Amino acid sequence: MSESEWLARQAAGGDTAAFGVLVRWHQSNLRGFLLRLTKGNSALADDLAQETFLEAYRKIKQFADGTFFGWLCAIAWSRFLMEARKRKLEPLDESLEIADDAPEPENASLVKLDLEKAMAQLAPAQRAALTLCFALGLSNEEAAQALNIPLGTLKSHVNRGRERLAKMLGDWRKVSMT
Amino acid sequence: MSIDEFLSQPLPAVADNGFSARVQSRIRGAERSKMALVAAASAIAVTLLCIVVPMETVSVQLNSIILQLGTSTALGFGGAALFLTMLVDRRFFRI
Repeated sequence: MSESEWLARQAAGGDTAAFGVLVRWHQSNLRGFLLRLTKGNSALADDLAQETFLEAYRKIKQFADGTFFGWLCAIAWSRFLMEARKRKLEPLDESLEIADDAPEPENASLVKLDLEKAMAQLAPAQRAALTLCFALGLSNEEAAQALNIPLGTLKSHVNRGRERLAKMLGDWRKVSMT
Repeated sequence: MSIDEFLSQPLPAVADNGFSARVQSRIRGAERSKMALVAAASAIAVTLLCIVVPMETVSVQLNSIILQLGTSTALGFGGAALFLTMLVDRRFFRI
């Protein structure tokens, strides 16, 4: 059992100071994850992060297995989906993926080879899957649990996301060099 | 740099800037609201109880029982035994 999981058990026993430590330890990664989901909207990301921690505190007794951060990401993803549906932020359905619009050659000077911009072009589920599995280092099983999808679906999101990123970054590189 | 290397770069660190303190403050507020709700519910329950239950009759009977218990030797010995047990537990076993 890692320190986070031990602190979570203490928090489940009513120790609010233990929960405070968990907030300090995980706030940066959680807010970073939500920043990527919200495509850089820091105000929305922070609101969602606060709501995530509050919900985690209310439901701390339900935390049973897995890592605490993985469990936190599951709550954050659920919160993001609710907000995205309420505000109609972007299409959540992967079949309605944003069109791959490599810029026209005359706009090449405006193009920046930026992973965050490329990530913003992906469907939310692909962004989340890639961020959880790569940048945040969750195992495939943990990431699938966090996103509440089967393992096969997670791998599909990861593979398709990587392919799209490779294509976008490749296209932008070609355009910027002309 | 390959795509996987790009993706594996850690997310940029986000400075706390009082975020954790705001979360803790909201948690304390939620706890206070919960306690206030419990206190209000208890007060209402006790008030209803006092209205429904014949308090004069009950208090007279309670007074009589308390006096009997206070002069009971058996209860005195039992209380002393319980106290000594707790003392031994705390001193020798540090539970």
